[in-house]
Amino acid sequence: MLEVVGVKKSYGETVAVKNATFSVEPGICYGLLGPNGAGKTSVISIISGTLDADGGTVTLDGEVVTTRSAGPKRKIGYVPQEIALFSEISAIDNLRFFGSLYGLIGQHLSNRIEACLELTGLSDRAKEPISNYSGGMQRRLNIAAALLHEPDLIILDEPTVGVDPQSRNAIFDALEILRSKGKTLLYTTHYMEEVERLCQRVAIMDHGSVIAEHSLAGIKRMLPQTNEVQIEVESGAVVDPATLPGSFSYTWMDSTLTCEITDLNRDLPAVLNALNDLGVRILSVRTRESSLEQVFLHLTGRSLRD
Amino acid sequence: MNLLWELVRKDLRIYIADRRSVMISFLTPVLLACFVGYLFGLGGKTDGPKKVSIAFVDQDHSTFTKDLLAKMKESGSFDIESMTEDKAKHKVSKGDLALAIVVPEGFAAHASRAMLEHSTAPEFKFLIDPSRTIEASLSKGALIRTTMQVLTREVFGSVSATEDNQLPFKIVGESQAVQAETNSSPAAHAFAGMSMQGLLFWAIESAMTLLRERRMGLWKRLRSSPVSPFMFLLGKGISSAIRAMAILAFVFGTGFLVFHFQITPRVENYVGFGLVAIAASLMAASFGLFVAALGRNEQQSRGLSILAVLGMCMLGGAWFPMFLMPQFIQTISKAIPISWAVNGFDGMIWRGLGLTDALQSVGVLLIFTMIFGGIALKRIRWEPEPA
Repeated sequence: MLEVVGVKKSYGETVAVKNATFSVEPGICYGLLGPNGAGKTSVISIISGTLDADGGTVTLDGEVVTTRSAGPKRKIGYVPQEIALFSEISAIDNLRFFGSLYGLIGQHLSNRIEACLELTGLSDRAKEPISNYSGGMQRRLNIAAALLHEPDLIILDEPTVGVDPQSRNAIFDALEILRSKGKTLLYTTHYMEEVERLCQRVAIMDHGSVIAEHSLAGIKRMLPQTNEVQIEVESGAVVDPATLPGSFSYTWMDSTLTCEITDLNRDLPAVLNALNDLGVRILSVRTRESSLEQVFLHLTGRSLRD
Repeated sequence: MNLLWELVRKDLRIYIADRRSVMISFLTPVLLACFVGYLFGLGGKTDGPKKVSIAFVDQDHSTFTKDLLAKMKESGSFDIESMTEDKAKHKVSKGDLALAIVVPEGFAAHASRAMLEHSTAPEFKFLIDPSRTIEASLSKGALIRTTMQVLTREVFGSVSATEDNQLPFKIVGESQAVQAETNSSPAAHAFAGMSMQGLLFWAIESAMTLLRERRMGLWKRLRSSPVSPFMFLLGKGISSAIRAMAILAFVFGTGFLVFHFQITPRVENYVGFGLVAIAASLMAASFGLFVAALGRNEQQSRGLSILAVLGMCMLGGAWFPMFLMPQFIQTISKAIPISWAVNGFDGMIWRGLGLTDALQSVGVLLIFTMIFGGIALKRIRWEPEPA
């Protein structure tokens, strides 16, 4: 559906996007991850037709997307990172205006406004000036404004920044409904848990390039296969990691021993037996799979929120 | 067409929603115009004209000087006091008086001879407070006219001029262009000038709103839609021009009611006034787009554009009539849109000019509109520049 091939963008001397290449299949939620300054927003701007690339191409259903291509723009719903709404007027007036930009008029426009307000849970306060809205409600309306013309591709640039958990859940619910209706979502965020909840496929950007692109499970497999095991022992017990088996990395904090184990079946019993032999009473054992955050750290050497 | 209407309607709704901003944009030019109109001492029927305090130094002690003094006192325009030249100099230096007129010994005899025999004219001396040159310049004009009236009567006698204000000849070029009541023209000019100043300042505020919208990502969102930049700017321009016309209607309406000036009562002048108002509104609207398109951010653009508007108002005759300005400024003013708007309004209200003259102003204002709009269309940036 969406093909991004070799996209480049510079602002004067600053290279924002060196080389972005990825493709998005229809009907999925595609996550675009990267820290601040990675070039995500520039790529999103080029895909949404608000910015022209210096090189490379973006095609949507075979049509090239540029700032002047009206055809593909009709298939795209763009939710900017900022709350791009007119705060002085009501939600209905905002939606009426944004709908008219896509040629919606009359009863059809009214119906679409009603549907989008309902989807985002804002129907009961639709006539109020949005300056009265909470940040979360404004974020929801920001999304609603991009859905009026029933786009095939919905681009969401960090749509949950600064929202309360209730509004975040409402946004996720709305996005899941859209995906269930076959819409394609391109989603950028800082929050790994959002990607893990929503996305089926992920591209990781850093320093203007896509450094990894895979399914969510595939991305996680890029990390050397280890499992983090946390073993909580009885208070007062003292364990010298040198006495424990294997060449695992052990850390000891308070009454918890943490170690990285490659094969749980093979190595974990050996560790537990060694602790038992030392007379240490084990209170709990927890294991954790590699997280996307760890993958990101492994690939880029920095945290997503850097 | 529906899209254009929606673009315009949205802007009008936003404008109306901010009632304080509406009040400011309507009332500021009215208050300024009333104040400037009042300063010119021609505030209609409310308080009567303000008298200018001047000194009269009579070194001639002739019948002419006695008549001149009496005539000036009668005029009601001056608070005039006789005194010695030294005292007059002192009072003017202190700023107590704007002007002193010194009639040297033998002035009347010399002046009479000069009128009849074309001999060398005697000197008529003025002492002027440099901080009150405008007041002094206006007073000088009236003094010279009164002097001419009295001197003419002295020379040609009562046969030629039985009434004070019925001279046996007219002074060519002084007031023949003024069709309406002469005492309302400075107020009308003040309203024309201040309304244009108000429109341009309001255009700056509109530009700041546009830059704020860009900072908020609204332009980016609009850019992601299939609407062309031309259509977007056209919608902005039309909505701004409608608001500008409403402001002009309110400002001039107040002027007509409070200061009792009026458009010269001819159909062509009403048409001309309307066309100048439309053209001036379009020019102001496109100026706002021009500022927004060139602006990097709100703070920087506001400072530069305020400076530009103040310069245009000063050089374009919005504050003071152009005849008070040096010749080179009068020449420069031809390149300033505000002067064409003010001249257009003046022409239709009190100069008694015709539709052809109004169309000349309209044409020039529309050229400025196209220049500002064209630059805005070419230079508009949809996203804030990256830091």
